[in-house]
Amino acid sequence: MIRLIERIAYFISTTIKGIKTNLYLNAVTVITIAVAFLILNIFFMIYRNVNSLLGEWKGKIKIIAYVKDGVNDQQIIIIGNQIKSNEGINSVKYFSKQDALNEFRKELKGQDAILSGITQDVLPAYFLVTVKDSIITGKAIGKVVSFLKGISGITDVQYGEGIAERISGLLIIVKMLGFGIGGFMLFAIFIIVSNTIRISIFSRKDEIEIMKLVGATNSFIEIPFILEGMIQVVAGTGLSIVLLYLVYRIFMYKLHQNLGSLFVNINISFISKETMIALLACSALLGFAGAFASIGRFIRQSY
Amino acid sequence: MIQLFHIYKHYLKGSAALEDISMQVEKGEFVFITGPSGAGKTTLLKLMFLAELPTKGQIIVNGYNITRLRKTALPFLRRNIGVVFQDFKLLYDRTVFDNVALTLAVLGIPKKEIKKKVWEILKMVGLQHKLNALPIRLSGGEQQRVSIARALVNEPAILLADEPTGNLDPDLTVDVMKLFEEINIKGTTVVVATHDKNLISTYRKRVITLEHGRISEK
Repeated sequence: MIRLIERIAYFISTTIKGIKTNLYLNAVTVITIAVAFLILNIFFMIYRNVNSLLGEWKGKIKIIAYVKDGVNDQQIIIIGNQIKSNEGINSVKYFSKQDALNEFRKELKGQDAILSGITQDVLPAYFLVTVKDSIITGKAIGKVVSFLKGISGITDVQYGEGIAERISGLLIIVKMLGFGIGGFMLFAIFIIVSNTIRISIFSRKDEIEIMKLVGATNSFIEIPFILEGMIQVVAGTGLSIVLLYLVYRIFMYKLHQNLGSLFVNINISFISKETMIALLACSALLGFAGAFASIGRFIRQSY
Repeated sequence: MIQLFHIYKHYLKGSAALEDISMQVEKGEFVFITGPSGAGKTTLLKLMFLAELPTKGQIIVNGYNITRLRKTALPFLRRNIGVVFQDFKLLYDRTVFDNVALTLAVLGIPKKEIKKKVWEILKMVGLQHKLNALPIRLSGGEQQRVSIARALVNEPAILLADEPTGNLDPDLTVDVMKLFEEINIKGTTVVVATHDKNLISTYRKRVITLEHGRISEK
């Protein structure tokens, strides 16, 4: 146990020594990684907020299926059950002619004069249908609409045509952009870390040679370099989160100061705790991979 | 302790550094390897601790055929071999203590024990008072003694020294050779590569002479 603790202490002190030896280089690396992750984090934030906004919109997509005049109550129940039987349907609510008029009145509250003379016969009865989230892609919602159109007793179906397609299209673009930027950033960080570690290895080449000479195992030599790489990326990511938070606070302050009344209901959220933890864990892995790529190759090449 | 069978070493450019070397060093023996510059002394020593692989032939060290050793087993072979170089190969940003302690640190020996062993070996080479000095502040002879201390602190079965007195004046050469004789008496097998004829004539040991990469034992 004491041996293990001493060994860990040795690795930590050697890592710190290594960082101190190339302090400037390490600082530049951490800042570079922080900037790269800042861009990525801004993107995460945009994605999170756009996604939640889209989520709100999704819930508002409703389909109205108009019922043929003269359909009796029993037939209404049958049509309702038929609609419910579709897997993509979330909820179904029937509005009779009278209900339809009441709803219309609610919408035009204060302008009752317009409605004078309008009787319930003017408006058709309808089913208000909401669909499941998974259905909000252009093709799937189209299928539900044609299903509804196919039911006997339904005359016409209305829904926000085009909106669903646009929402799902936007989500796909946001996701694609995320994968593109994310992939590129991760690759760039991998290259940065592996190059920094390579320089670190080069500056401690003599030490590595002597350690090999006196019988150090590869892992004994590798561990401090790998820790150095992990610390660089995790520190860079941590710094990027702090920077992002500052940018976020300033942005929110300016937004409310200048456009306060307009944007009073807009709630822009910061990246979630889960995202932060996942980012830090990913950075540790990335640091490990970048450092290992350099030191592993160097160690295994030499005798 | 060390056996070489028909060893050849050719470098990429096609030049042959060693040609058909077969030799044996007994346990507890003290052997000089000599020859003019470029004869292959350093290459021969490097093969003995597997700093390089032979092009052809077999090398047995301490009972193991090291030419067939897996790379992962290499550190364990080296823990039984102390190596001393003409240019000392010290870490100049570390103290004398740290330089010597490195050999024990890689073995995972507890700090307390490291302190004790390093002090003992530095006392043996007469440098216990320079424990916290940086090597750059030491004379050439003292630096060489630090490198000898580093090679011996682990009590290896074999000590290989490549021109260990090459950078030292005659008085310091005597000090270093005395150290080698002392550890040899204690049982360590010592192989010293040198082109210094005075050294060979002063210390009557077995001599293996290399000429153009070939052996001619005298």
